[in-house]
Amino acid sequence: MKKNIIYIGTILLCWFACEKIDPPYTSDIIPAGKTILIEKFTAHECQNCPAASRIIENELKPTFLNTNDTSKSAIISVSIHPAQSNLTLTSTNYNYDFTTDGSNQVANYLGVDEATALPIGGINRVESGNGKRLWSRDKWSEQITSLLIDEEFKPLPKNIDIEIDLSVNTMARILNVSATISVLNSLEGNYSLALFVMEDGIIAPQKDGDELIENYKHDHVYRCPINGWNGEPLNITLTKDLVFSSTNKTIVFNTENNTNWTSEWNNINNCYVVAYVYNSQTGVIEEVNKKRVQNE
Amino acid sequence: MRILFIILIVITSQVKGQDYGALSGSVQRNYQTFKEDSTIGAKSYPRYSSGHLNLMYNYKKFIIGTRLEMYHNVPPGSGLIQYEGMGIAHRFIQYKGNMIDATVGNFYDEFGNGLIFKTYFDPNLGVDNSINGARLQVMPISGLYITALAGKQRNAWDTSNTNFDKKPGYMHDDDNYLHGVVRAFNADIALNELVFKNWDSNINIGASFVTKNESDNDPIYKVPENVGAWNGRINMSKNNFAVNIDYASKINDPSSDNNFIYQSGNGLILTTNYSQKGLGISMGVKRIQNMSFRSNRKGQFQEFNINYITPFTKQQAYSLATIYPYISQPNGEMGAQLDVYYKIPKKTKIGGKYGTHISFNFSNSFNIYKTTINDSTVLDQRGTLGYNSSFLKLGDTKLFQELNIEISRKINRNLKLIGTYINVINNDKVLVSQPLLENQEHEIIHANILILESLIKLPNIQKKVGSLKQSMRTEFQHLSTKQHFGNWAMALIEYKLSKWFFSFQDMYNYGHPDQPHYYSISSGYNKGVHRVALTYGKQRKGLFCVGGVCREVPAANGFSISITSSF
Repeated sequence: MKKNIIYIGTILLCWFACEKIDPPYTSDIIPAGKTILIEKFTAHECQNCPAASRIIENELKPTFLNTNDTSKSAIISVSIHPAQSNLTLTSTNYNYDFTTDGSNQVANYLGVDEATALPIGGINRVESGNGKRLWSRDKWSEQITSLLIDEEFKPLPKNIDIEIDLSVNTMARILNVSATISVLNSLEGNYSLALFVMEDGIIAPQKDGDELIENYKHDHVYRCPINGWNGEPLNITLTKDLVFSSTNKTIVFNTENNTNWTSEWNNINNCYVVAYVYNSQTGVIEEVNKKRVQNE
Repeated sequence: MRILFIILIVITSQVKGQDYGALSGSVQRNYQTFKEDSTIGAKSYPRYSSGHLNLMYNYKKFIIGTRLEMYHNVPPGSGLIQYEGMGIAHRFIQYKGNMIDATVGNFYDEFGNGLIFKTYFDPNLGVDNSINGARLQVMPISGLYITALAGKQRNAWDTSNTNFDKKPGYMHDDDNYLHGVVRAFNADIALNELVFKNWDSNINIGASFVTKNESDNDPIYKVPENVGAWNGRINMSKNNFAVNIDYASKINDPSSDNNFIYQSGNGLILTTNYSQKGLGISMGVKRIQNMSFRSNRKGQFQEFNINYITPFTKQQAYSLATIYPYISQPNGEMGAQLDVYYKIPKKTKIGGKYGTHISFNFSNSFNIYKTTINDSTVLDQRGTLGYNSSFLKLGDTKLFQELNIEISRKINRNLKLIGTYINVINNDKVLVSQPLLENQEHEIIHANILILESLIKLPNIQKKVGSLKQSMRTEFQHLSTKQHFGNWAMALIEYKLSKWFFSFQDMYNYGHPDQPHYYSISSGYNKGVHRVALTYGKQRKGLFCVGGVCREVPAANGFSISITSSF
């Protein structure tokens, strides 16, 4: 009888197990070989979007660090303001237009539509179901982990290294860009290279919670594509140890490429070129890198 | 799949005809068209159709049931997009004996007020959180009811399949078979049946325990793989009085809902009732702290809810009174409700010939009082305890308040009038649920609503085969507010002739800069359990809510057809 009671008690204890977590509540840093791209869809009237940016900057970037250089995060993020959302519309209070044709096409490709609740993000453009590639902010960390870490919690090997080569004429505001791609491990399938410009330090109104912040600092804002919104095919088989350079691209920081790049605009040193290589069939990004727009 | 339907319907009559048990069921189909209408912000979409077929076969003590669901061309912004597709969403086998009730498959259940466990199906809200697993209810002795259950919750469809034919969505983790499993135990004891058989008071007590298992796959936070919640309740009644106390507690459960804080949760619902002929008084208080409880800690909207927070506000039916609803706040709310019903006796000076009914309802809700846990963290900071809270101290922000006074009086045999006054304070600055105009910010909305409803019996129409009953109903409503979209007026006229009904209504938002009209004309036919309704008109963008749970509804202009039937 006693034994039976113990058995039943043990089963019930296992059945109704509870777990109390004691501080510290956060885990250690996670070293990663690859770098991933978060395409965060945001809007100036989106009250929860700054909180999502804080998750990227304060939680994700400091947690996933590059194995070779722990001062460098394994995450590159870009903020995309999709015209599909009414929250990006300009108005008296929110008079800065962040939307661009290129970013709208990216948003459309990832599945952003008028009903999409922001903030939401693409994680290396991995599919999230129902034909979309969008994940809510609290699901980003899991997706990043699965892209960077294997089942034994070891960094997944980096297959491609992208080096961005650029030169800029700050007076003429002309940027020349190319990318050197080193294949570290052979990859099957067709791949494409896409390049775009993002900009830090844009001061413009933003809703944060129930507050309107007039002088909010917008970082990592998608500004324009360099070689088309979805890049260009590499047209080459990616075999190990192959090193090659993409064709040189030129872009001018003027209103043709972004309506905010007027003659008064003076923020070229806060711009970055982002380059990513993705599988042309699956659309999933393999590797990404960024470089500040300045002469070396 | 359609062939299966036809076979099941064809065999229905066969099975009924012989003594092999009984097949019953219900079917519902809805169609809606959407055309562009810039005056109300409606967009053009393909024709939307949805529906479900319930089939239940009873044989002696066994029940086999299933439900087929179909959603096609779900419009964006409707909160139902995750249901696009068709499939068997629900199936079960149940044995229902005198002492044992056992179910395998999908099932719904509720413990007490649902503070730690309630699963239900409401297709209009996009809620189906049924458990797929096993449930056993036993009654070993009279007055003691014990339930144990385990399984995974349904969440729309399996998203890995992009075809239209779908399978229900359940949580899955290759490394953890228990990932997403909800386990629950409940006991209800009717003390009068069990021990105090001669008492003139009724006392029922109950206790529940629910745990959910979920893999710790969060790379940033250490999260509990097993989260438990318990609930104790007591219900006492004597003569005209009744008291009900329901208390629940939950251990740390960092989630998307609570911004990944590690605070424990608790909830208290206390209600008292007094009733006598012509008078009913009901009072209640509620306090909820961090009681969002889902089997997926990153679930959103209606996904994976294990529990249900009962609203403490009046369930409104008049259309203008539904514009500013209250949405239950599982992260924290404190509120009270008072309901008084009184009938002024008939054949008195004030009561009139038939008597007069007066209903009074007052409810409010505040946030809970919170203080920071230390000087270096802000309130609700992720990865911390989040806050300290004093149980009895009210928060400083009023979320919602509503006062309802309804007077209903039968004037004569053919006319009844119902007058209603509603005063609403809706803190949309915090609730953030209303659509906005350009440059408009969420704000505290104060609204006064006046409603006059009349029910008129008209003389029967004599026919050779008998007489046809006819009646009419009118509604005149007015909502005045200086905030949000300004004032509204509404009128409705409904005419019933035997089993047919015809209605016309217009909601006119004359305080809005565009002054839109939301008119609609409907007609339908009811016969027993069968109903067909056809509507043409405009639908405003807003929230559709039932019991504090809401779904966004897009603006629409077009036809809708609804068919429901049971057999």
